[in-house]
Amino acid sequence: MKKNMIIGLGIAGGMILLLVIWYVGTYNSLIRLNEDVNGKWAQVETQYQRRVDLIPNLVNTVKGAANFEQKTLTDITNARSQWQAAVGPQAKVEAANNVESALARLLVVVENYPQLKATQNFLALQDELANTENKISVERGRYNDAVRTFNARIKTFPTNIVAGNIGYTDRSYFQSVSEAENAPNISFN
Amino acid sequence: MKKILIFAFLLLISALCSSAAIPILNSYATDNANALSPAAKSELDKALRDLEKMTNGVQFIVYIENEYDKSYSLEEYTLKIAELNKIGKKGNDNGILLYAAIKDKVYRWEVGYGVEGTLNAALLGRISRDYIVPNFKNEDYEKGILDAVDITGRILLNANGDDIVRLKSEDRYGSKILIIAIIIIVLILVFAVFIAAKSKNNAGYNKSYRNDSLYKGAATGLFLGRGRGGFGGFSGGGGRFGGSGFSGRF
Repeated sequence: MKKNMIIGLGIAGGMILLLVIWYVGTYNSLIRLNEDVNGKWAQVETQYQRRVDLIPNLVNTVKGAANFEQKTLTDITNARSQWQAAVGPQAKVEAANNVESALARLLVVVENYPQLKATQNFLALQDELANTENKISVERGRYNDAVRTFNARIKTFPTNIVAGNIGYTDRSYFQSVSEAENAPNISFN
Repeated sequence: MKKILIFAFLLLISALCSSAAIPILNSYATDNANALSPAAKSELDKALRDLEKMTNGVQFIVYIENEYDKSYSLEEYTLKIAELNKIGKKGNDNGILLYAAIKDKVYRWEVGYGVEGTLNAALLGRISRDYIVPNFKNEDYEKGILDAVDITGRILLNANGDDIVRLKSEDRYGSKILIIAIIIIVLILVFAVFIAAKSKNNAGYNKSYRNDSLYKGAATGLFLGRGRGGFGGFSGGGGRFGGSGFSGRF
């Protein structure tokens, strides 16, 4: 009888130990995934910051062109200050999208100024802008991939129990102005 | 169960198909559009292999084909090529891909995280407009590629202020004894005489450069045409890319 009880206790203890090991492992991997999402987001913000840093130079270059539309320049300067004042991912995305549309409008207006378009200074700025645009889309894609992995993970059983205990919920995807209309609708609900 | 198996099979097939579209590159210069003469291709191979040795492992890869896979955007496609082939050294992230699709009339530079400061978009745009576009418009693809690679190589070789592209230090040989030093000097002299004689007979690749402030970072002398030969294809090192570069049409 006693022998059986010891064996039973041993089995129960072993199972509890395995459970603890599993819990700790899952906990750590979730923390890592969450940090991965944060890291990818930081990369996106770095690229946004780069683009915003190009704006003063761009405005100065464009100002030189005779009677360049003032409203376009004010819009873009405002969008830049808005970005700098924005706090938190949601506000940052919104401000970044405003910067994007203000920049797009500016580049359309520039089409009417062929001499300006041909200057080395403007060409260099245009190249850098196009480049940040592409880098933003690459980093945004990687951020969304990280979010997809994280969101899928915290919803699968039994990981969802651990996620619930840490208090992890879905991280949000994000879309650019241009993608917002035709972006694939990814939802795990 | 059967349905699941069929689904899994289809998934596998589609995965294989989509990855088959991204080319695997085995040499520094690959030309699938007959844009380069064999001499130019081997010149590029030599020079680019040397560049990797002379720097902290910068891998500069040239890939030319007729059309790119339109299921991607040009930028997505070149990023996939760069990532699949693991161009650049791990940790240094110093890979460079110069891509051109002749029939599509597009080209793109894809540069790794570690070299995007040295080869920024403004510089790449300038190199492209000065060397690639005018030559490509004349259908002289070889000259366009050679000129662009040469100026870029010289800029990279002179970028030793940058941590990213540092020339190998020479003090590794500091402890060698005098005799070996003398032998090396004699060898260098022999080589110099040999090369001078060779270049007199065979001018090879030659070109004068624009005197322009933007190009002041370029090393003097030619980058191409000084390769010492040697064998071995390109094998990727695992550099990372962030979509930096420059694309254009011609």
